Amino acid sequence: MRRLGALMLLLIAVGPGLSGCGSNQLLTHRALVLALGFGPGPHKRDLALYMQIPTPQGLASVMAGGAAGGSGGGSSKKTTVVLKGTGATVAKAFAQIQAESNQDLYLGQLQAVIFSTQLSQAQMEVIGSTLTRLGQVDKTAYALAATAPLDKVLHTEPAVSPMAPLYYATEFSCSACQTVRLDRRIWSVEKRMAAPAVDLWLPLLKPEKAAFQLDQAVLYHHLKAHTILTPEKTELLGYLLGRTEKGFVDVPWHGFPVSIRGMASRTHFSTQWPNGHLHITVHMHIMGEANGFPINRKIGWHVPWMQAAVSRQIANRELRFLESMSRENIDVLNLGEAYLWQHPHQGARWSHAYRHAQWTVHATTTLSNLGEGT
Amino acid sequence: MAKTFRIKKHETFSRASHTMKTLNRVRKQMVQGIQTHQLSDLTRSLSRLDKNVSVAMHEAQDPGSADWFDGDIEMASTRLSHMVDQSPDVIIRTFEVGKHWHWPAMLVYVDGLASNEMIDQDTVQRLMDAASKEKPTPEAVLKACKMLLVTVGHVTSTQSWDSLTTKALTGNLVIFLQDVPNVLIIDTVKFPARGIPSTTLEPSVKGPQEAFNEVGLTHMDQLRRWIRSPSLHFDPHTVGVISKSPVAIAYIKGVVNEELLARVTDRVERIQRDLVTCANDVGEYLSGHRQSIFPQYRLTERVDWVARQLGQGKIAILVENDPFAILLPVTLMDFYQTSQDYALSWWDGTLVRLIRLSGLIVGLYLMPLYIALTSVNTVLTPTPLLLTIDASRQGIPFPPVVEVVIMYLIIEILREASNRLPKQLAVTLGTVGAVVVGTAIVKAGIVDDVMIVSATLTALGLFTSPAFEMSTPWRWLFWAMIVGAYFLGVLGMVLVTVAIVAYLASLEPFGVPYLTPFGPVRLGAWADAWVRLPTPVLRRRPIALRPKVRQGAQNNPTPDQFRLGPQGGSR
Repeated sequence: MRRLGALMLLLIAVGPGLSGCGSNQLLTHRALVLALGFGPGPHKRDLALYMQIPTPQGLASVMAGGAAGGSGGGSSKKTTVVLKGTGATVAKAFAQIQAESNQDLYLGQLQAVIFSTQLSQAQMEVIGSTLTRLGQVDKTAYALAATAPLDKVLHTEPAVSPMAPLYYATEFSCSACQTVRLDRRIWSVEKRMAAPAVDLWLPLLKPEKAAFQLDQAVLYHHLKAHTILTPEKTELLGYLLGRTEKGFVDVPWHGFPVSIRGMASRTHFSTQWPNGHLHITVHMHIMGEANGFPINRKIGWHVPWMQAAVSRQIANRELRFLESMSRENIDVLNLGEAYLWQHPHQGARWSHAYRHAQWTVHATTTLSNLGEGT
Repeated sequence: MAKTFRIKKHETFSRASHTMKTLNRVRKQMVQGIQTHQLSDLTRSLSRLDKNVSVAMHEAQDPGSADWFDGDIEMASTRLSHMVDQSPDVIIRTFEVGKHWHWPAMLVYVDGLASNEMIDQDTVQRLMDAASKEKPTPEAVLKACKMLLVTVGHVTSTQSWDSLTTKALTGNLVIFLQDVPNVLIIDTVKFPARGIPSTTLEPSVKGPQEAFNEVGLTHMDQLRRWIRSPSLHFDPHTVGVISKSPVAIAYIKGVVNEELLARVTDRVERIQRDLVTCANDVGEYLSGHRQSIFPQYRLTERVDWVARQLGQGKIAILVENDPFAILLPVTLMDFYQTSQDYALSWWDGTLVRLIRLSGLIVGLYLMPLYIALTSVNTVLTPTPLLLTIDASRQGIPFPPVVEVVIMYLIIEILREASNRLPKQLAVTLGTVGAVVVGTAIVKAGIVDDVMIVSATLTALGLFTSPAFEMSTPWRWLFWAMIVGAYFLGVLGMVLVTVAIVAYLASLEPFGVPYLTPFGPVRLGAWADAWVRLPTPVLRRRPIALRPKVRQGAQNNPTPDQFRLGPQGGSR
């Protein structure tokens, strides 16, 4: 009994110290913010903050397992509501939204953070800083960029998902569902924002009528949206980052388009400094499946030249892509990070060397699943 | 002896005082008008007073006769009548031994506990018809009686009043012979008892189905059928100052740890209690941690399980009038093992044990986790799940913790009501409770759907322990977990878990660590813990029990591969 008493005393003594570890709040008192949007405000220095929150109808549709139909402000059966606040800082905009809501705005279940490509570098820095220091934010949320107005983006309701913010999680959590895996977590974006000589890339979210298109990337330079890649260039970026899962090329053979699909790549970079110039060599090993070949021909004889053709084609395209990125001084491949880790005060030198770097791309291809058995 | 005599004298005088009071009362009432039944009371009281005074005077002449029978059957009759008062079940009859001797004798037995046929036909009739040419002396009569009764059953003799009254009250026939200080005790015990029942509380799909009944002697017989070895010992003890309940300590000599046996025997002998009505009355005296929420011994009705555990080096305590044997020492793991685990293949045994473990985890953690994930650590919940929970909680007026209390109370009330009702009604009640109340409470918006699911799984999970007594601590600790989850979320649950594990690790009933074989780690014993390996592999007894011989019987070598040939011969 004495021991039990001592244990109880210990618990009572420790309890108040641990009280900060738990904050008990009813779920119904929390407004689950599923998506955050950051866009330019009405005034030049202002930010617009958007929050997408599920409605009771939306929750019911999630429970029922299907789309309830409609979203945003106009629909009578809206699954989410989008609240907007503006201000010079995120905190001010946040306070405006809080005033509109009778529930506690809870960011612990955030699914997506959408950045408008219109945001300036300074605004991105403010947002990055706020997100980093807000402890409540779910850092595993996906980061996306949008060229379209955020009002439009956040009011788009995909037909295949019960609620728009769940669409991103469904899409990004399935690696086999995308040509290029473009998922970026917010913690990774924050890390990039803080790192020197490293540029950011984000997937571009393009709203359609009842869906989203997610096959392009936006390249940032010094936290400012710089280039929007085409789907083809996004695929090339994906090969370099090891994120392309279902690449595709056609290799002509006597006028017949031979299809190579399901292409993925393992890529390795190495840098040399001959005569003080930066030389970057890229080694790519591409794997793919040969699917489209004349049905009355044995494909086995043709595999070697097909592999060589694919390697040549990819290597050439990658070389042009890398040289263009290099000329623009956009380093989304983190090459500068390794250099500056060893030479922390040589940022200017790296920047100059990278812009004038010489590139060599070596590619080898292995084709499998030739379809001979069918 | 002198003290006993003083007590008897005091009793006699108090009875005399009571009679005097009755007389005074009657005298007063006589003035108002005497009544017939009061006169009858008076007569009976006077008669009893007379007898009591006679006994007291007789004992006063020879103080030693208070404890020993002196051969005076009239005084013995009076004394016995005084002791049992008007109990109709105690039969006291006088008769004469020998056709020619007409030697006065008296018999005492308890009607219902002794066999009437044995008493009337095999004993009294024989004694009355005895014919002898010898001169009737006390020695000759005693000798003749013993000779005549030797075929009836076990015959012993005693002079002690304590002994003979105990024997008489447990179904033996006690025969007093005039002027013979030795009282004959004949084993005529025969009373109605339940047959060998099938086990109901610890059922098994296959294997033995036999359970103990309430008779101590049958307990031993049943065990003896399982272990036909002289090594199986039963040490008899009597517990209960008034009830004098027989208790047997069963063990296998040569296997059980002698120190453990001595400690258990010592604790049984130290029990000071008026009445013992069930095995648990004994068990609660044996535990070294009486305040512990976790059971320190296992109660089982299965004979095969007791036999198996004895073979491991454990000790069983068999208590008269209770079909449950006490098994000790025990570990936490013991409460999650059943005989069915061994009656079926080892794959089945392992599977059901793992399911029991899962049931424990689900039962203990599911509802606290629900509270933690919906109220405190919302960030840890997967979004689709949280949205589903949020949707189901729309319009619910209570916080999750109140829902838990409501659901738990409903389940416990249903369970308790089912226990008290006849089996057929209990099934109906369970169905009504589960379906009707469950549906209605959700429709009424008192509890949400997800809570119904978790409450049901919790209720089922907490009862997956094959030993009912182990479900109780978890049902208590469940609330500690709820409190921890409510205030500190998952951290609170972790803290409560650590406290539980620390407490379990501190328990050592009869020197055996409660958490063994996991704390301290006994890798060898893991073969028969949450998994059960094939029986031939389980050769060694648990080291935690410190058995005298650790190694069981040697295995046969692995049999050769054998295949029947096409002509019927082997190849």
